[in-house]
Amino acid sequence: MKFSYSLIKELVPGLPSKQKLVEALNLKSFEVEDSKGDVVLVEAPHNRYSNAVSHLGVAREAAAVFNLKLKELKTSSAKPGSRRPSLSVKISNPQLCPRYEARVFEIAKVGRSPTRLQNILKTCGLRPINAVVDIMNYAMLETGQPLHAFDAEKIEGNTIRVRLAKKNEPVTTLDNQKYVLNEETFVIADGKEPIAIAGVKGGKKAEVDSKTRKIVVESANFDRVSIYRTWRRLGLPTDAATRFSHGITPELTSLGMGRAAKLLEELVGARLLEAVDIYPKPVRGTIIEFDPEKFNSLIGTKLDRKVMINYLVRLGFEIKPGSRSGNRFLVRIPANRDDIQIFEDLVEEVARLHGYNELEIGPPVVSITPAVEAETVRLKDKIRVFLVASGFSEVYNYSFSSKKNPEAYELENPIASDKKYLRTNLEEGITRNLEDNAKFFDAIRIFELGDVFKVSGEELHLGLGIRLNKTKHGETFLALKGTVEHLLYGLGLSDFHFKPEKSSLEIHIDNQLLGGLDSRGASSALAELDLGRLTSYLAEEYEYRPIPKYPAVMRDLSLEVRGGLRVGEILSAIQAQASGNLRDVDLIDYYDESHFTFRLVFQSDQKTLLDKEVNQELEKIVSYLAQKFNARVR
Amino acid sequence: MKIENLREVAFRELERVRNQKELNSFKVKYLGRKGSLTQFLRKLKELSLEERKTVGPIAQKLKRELEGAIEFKKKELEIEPSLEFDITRPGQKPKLGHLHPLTKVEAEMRRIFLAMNFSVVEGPELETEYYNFDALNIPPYHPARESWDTFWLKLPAAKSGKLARPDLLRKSGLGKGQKLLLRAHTSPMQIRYMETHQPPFQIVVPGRTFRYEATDSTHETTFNQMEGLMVGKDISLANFKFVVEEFFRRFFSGQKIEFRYLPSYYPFVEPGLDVAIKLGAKWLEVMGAGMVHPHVFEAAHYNPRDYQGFAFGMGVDRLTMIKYKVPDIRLFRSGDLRFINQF
Repeated sequence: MKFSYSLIKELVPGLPSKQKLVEALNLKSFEVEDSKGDVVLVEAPHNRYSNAVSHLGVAREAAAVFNLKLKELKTSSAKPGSRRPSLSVKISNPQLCPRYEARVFEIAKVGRSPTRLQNILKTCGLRPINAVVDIMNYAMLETGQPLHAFDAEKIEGNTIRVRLAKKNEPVTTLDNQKYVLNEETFVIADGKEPIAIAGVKGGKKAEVDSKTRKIVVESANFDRVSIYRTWRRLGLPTDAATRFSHGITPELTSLGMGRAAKLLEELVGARLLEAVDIYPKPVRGTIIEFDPEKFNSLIGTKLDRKVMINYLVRLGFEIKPGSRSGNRFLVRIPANRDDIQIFEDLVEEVARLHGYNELEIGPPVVSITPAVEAETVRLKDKIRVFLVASGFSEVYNYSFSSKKNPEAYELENPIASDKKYLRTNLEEGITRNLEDNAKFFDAIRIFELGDVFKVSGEELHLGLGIRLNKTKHGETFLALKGTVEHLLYGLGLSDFHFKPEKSSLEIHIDNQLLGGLDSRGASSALAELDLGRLTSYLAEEYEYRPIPKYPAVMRDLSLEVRGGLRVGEILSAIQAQASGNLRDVDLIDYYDESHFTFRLVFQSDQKTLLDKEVNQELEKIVSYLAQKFNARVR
Repeated sequence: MKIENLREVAFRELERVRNQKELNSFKVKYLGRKGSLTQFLRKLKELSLEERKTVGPIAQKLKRELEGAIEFKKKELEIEPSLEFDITRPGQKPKLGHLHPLTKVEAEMRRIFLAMNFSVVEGPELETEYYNFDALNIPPYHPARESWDTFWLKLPAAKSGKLARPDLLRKSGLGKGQKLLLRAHTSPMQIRYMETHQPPFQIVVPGRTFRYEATDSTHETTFNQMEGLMVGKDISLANFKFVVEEFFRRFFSGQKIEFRYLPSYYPFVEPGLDVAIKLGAKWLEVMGAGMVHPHVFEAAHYNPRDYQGFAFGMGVDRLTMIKYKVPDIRLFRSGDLRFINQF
């Protein structure tokens, strides 16, 4: 928000240069940025709209930070001349409008406002309109209270109704925009129709113009949530709406009104006729007990009680004597400091004014209970180490997807039309990565570890993708299959098995589906695993087995089988038929789908196997294969 | 043959020896039982005493010299066993993959915090309004929520009475108008962790977060954060400063680093502050932090009078960009191996 340095300086005459102010406020108060000319940009904290998002507020902060004196704003002390006010004000929903102040003025003429005032409005990004409107805006900039002036003659029935709009009730705002309101919109209406969207924008009907001689000035307070919803719905983030929707104290209306009245008297010769102030439940300042010991414990300092009191007084808090036990004291919180609700809020006030950079630094003293890493964190690390050593590089993809899917969550506010859903797998992203990188690399091996989202829940997945140009059919798939197998072994899984399903393999353990492998043409293959289902099987317990004392005997078995028979079936048959002496079977040569060679390794831990014994075992296997698959030894 | 000739011939021949086998034949040829020098020495007996006195020591010296030279040659051949290939050719690269830079940096961050006894935990990316906002003292319909531009999810229709994430439902009262979202920060894990653990503890929470935001070189819809939370009986802001400075000194080890703490506002901490570091000439804001707000303790069913602590959050993407001088945040999720293979 734009602020005027010269207006702040008017309120704190001893203020140092603009640069020094910016630096000091940044270190002690809130984020401020230097800008061109007279402009200072204040990034106002969301909870300080009652007391800091105004020139007076910033000046008060600056005075506290530099320990200077603050000049209070001059307000009007005029009392209405007449007896009972003729203007009738009625609030239909007091919970949406905690306070409504209105004053009726007679003015000499609506001219232009003085140049100085116009310049400050311009500095703060507001457009000068006429003296009355400019005074409203200027007083808001000074005090933080939004103000509005109506032409009293245009208010039908001399009545102001603060009420909810009727369904589809229209209003035309000052900028000639038409809005159709709903029953949740809070409006200011006259006897007939809305003359303003409450707390958001004034209406055209009762606009102050050059002929206006009698005005109603409104200084009111509206419910934060109601205003927030209204401006969001209408898309009207006006200055007033922003302020009200942050929540400002109803105490502020009188300062705003008093200041506006003073300026009206001085600049347009206004004479007060009537005053209304509907404020059924006045907000009172609170009292909070301050515990210096607790302060020092929280901040880790050894500050003296007197130093703390000094900072609080500088910030405008009143210290109450006669407090309870020991070192503690009571602090009276002014009504406009509605950001201060608990002791810790006061702790911040003292600590920041002292300066966070000046505070002590000290190591925490804790018991050395061993720190642990979550199981998922360790699992992901292990997978990464294995895969990177196996030549796979890690990619990160977005969690969004373009694919509609009965399992997928849909976003209410997608960032793009191709990002309307949450991903239910990693495959989609990895497929795209393989394609994108194919332009630059002949061999691509990638993986991703990430969460996917299904209506049934969030799952941690591992996705793998491989694309190898210039390879023989099947090699790519088998390379990925080997990687997945060895990864699972490496993670301590042994009981898993692959189940063929068309061009893909499902990975099962204990009748649970862990994931699958997919062949995508000759050059590409993909795999995806649900790591959440995997974690319960990760035993990773090793147990020593004696190193074999007796030699191993190898036999190569070249087979000819009918086409269409899968190697996996023959492998399982061999393993099922063999004795305990068969240590290992490997496919060492694959000529075509009917001709291939297995290497069988026989070894006993009892004795050296004789050729005769090995041959007998081999024959048993061969005859079984012949009988079962009609396989012939070549 | 004269002894001088023998020396000249022998040394010239030794120079031409290229491998151990040749060296062995050479040794046999000159120093073997029937070797020429051995023969020569044997024949010394046949010479006159005068001749023996002059030639003898020379021959003995040559024998020692040859033995020494053979030994030297042997070692030389061991170092350079053969010259059948060019050892200056480039080495064969093992086929290794590359970790994503964000993984590398996150791992380094975890390592430093683990060394300071911080446990590492993770939490769900799909969150409820309750954990992302309400429990963190960020009220509904408050402009403060706009600091966290949020991706909201359409609530899936209940199928056969079974709705997603019964755990989410129970805790957040989704039935009462609570909505599902993609977490806008890692802070929801503060609540989740405290709901199931008792102080004292100290944790960090790395993870993916989401913001509904137009992307450019420094803004992303998807980025990684690391949350920190330390709670105990007397954990102070001074402790926070210690931990955070230790962390950044190690993370940017070898670089000169300065710290600056600036007042800031986050509804879930009080006091709240930002941490800026200076590397070289520039101040960089790298962390939001503060003392845990009593309302947050209450949301997690702690008595705020019993415990105090600090919380912080930082962007893993941002720290990676600073550390590896990555100019554009969008590179991280491009899947481009020309980028990833650099790390």
